[in-house]
Amino acid sequence: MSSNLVQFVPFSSAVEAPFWHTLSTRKIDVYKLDDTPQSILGYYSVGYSLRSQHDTEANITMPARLYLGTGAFDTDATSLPPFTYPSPGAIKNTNTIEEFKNLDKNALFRETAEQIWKDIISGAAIKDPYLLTRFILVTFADLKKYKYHYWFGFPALLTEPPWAIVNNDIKDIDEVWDNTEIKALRENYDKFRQLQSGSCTGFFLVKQLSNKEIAIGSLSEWNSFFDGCSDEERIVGFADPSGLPSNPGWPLRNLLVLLKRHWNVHKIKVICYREIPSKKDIINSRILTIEIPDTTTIPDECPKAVGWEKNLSGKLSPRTVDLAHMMDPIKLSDTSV
Amino acid sequence: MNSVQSIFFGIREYLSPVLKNSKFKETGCITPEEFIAAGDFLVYKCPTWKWEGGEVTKRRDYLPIEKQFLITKNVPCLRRVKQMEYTDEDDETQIETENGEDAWVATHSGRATTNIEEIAQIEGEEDEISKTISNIVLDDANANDKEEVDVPDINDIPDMDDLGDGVAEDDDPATLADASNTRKSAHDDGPSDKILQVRTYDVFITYDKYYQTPRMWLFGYDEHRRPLTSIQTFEDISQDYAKKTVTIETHPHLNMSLASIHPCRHAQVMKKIIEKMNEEGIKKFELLQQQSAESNVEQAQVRVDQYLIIFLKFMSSVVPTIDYDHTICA
Repeated sequence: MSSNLVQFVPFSSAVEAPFWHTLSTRKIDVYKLDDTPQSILGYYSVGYSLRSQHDTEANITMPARLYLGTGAFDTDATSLPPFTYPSPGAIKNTNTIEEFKNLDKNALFRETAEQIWKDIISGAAIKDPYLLTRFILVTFADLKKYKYHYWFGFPALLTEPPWAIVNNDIKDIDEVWDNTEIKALRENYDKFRQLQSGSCTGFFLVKQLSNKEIAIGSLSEWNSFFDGCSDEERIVGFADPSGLPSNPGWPLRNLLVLLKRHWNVHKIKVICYREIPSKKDIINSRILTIEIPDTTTIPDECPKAVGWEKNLSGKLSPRTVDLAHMMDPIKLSDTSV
Repeated sequence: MNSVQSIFFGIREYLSPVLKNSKFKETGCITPEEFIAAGDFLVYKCPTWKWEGGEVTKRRDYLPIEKQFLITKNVPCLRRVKQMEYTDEDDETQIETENGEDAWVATHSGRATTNIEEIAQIEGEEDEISKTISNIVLDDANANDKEEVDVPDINDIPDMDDLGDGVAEDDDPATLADASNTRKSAHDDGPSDKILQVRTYDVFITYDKYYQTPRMWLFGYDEHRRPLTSIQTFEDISQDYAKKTVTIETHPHLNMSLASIHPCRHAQVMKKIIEKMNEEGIKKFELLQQQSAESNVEQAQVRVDQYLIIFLKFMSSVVPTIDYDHTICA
């Protein structure tokens, strides 16, 4: 039975080096000793696999990465790289290593999870589904040594019992749909992405029309979009940062909680949308149906949540990055030109 | 040292006039306007590339505010240059996958690639690649060993021992515990899939006013997303170039130092590639004319907005393992 459970791929954090530079500057010039959490904007792209050139080798899948770039403090979704999806977060930068150590991280994580829950209950996450991917980042910047200690939390609300894959069956999109339908999905989703604001593009509704057309809608259109559809005809799609064949990425978890909470969905077909943008290829996309028993109820209080990122040794512990080798030249360059 | 040089470069750039008249076919140089046109074409054809404005204080007034330089992020780099098998067959297969609506590129990309190598030799750049590159393929066992050496032991760092204190999570059966494990897909018997930590690069193209050519910059991250040192970056640059024409300098539009392929030879090489492509284009045009009268000779010639696509093909001989997008697809 347990093999039927959906196992979601957690995010792996990926901070761009200039982000730390910006954090240092802001710490010195703006925040000073103020350590209240600040809003930041991360981003993720969809997963894909690189076909191995040697039959003996495994296919190579890129990790499901959540990036923080230079523009993270601007929280402006329009400045993100193409084909990426915004993820709102907060950074808590402590003033000393002791504060970093003693900080009640569980409480911060809990607050973040509760914020996600609040956005689900209020419907804010239907209007702006990127709120489902909210994260927390705890940091201490050792400005003298160019060392940064940091820890990401990506809260996923838990359902009891967990979601299972119906018939343990996950298929490639081309096993389910023909080329005309796949092309229609890709083109219509492209249009959807261009029309919607960045906060909406990561999650969407899909239905098959007659004559092989595929319609795409936003979460807020749920009732009208699926009007007259049977349960089997309702499909949700999400931009899937995972590239693994059997495992959807993290953002689906909170989406499922939202679907259950608002529309009492206990069984749904899901498209894990994965593409290679340069090739206009979505062949890595996967389709699966997932369910929880229809007796499952979601309580009114915020459910339990998990999602602290593990460090490189797989332990629940912060990470450290040492930028001494590149920060000094940066300082030089600032004064030289 | 670096800062003195940078001042010198800054002054030299300030003094050199902005190129106004198009000379790209004669000299391989382009004007800022042509750089913008070629950049727009690149972004249109390869949408993973994007224009950026960069630091406000570092803006060049001969370029539009929002189009100071081009960037593509998180480009995978699977293996080091010395691990790459370098044969003519590889080039051939690569070409075949590039068949797109713009037939001229599909037809000539292979020749252009070969030409670059020929030109490199003409230019006196000895082609050591074939000698130095042994046929090492990516060896998983070795890679893993190396990774373990690379991982800093968190316990070695004082103060870090108990940083994880107070945070506990129940085991969650719905979380994929170790994503780096090899996992079979549920239904097929094909090769297994695994998450492989690979190097990634952010690749920048700026306009170099002194050399009047584009200039490529590279900022890389290791398998664990830590910034690469310059020595590590050199492992991803063709040996000929790594020794001679790659320097670490300050990005003209950002507050960071990174590796850059020095543009002193770019114009010459670009000119030769464009000449070759035009010759091939005319031959093909004549062939087409015999078949139908519908083509005209202009179409057979390289247009200036295609400059950056050609430039990126040229650069891929310098950084052959960094897999950025420069293919023209339908």
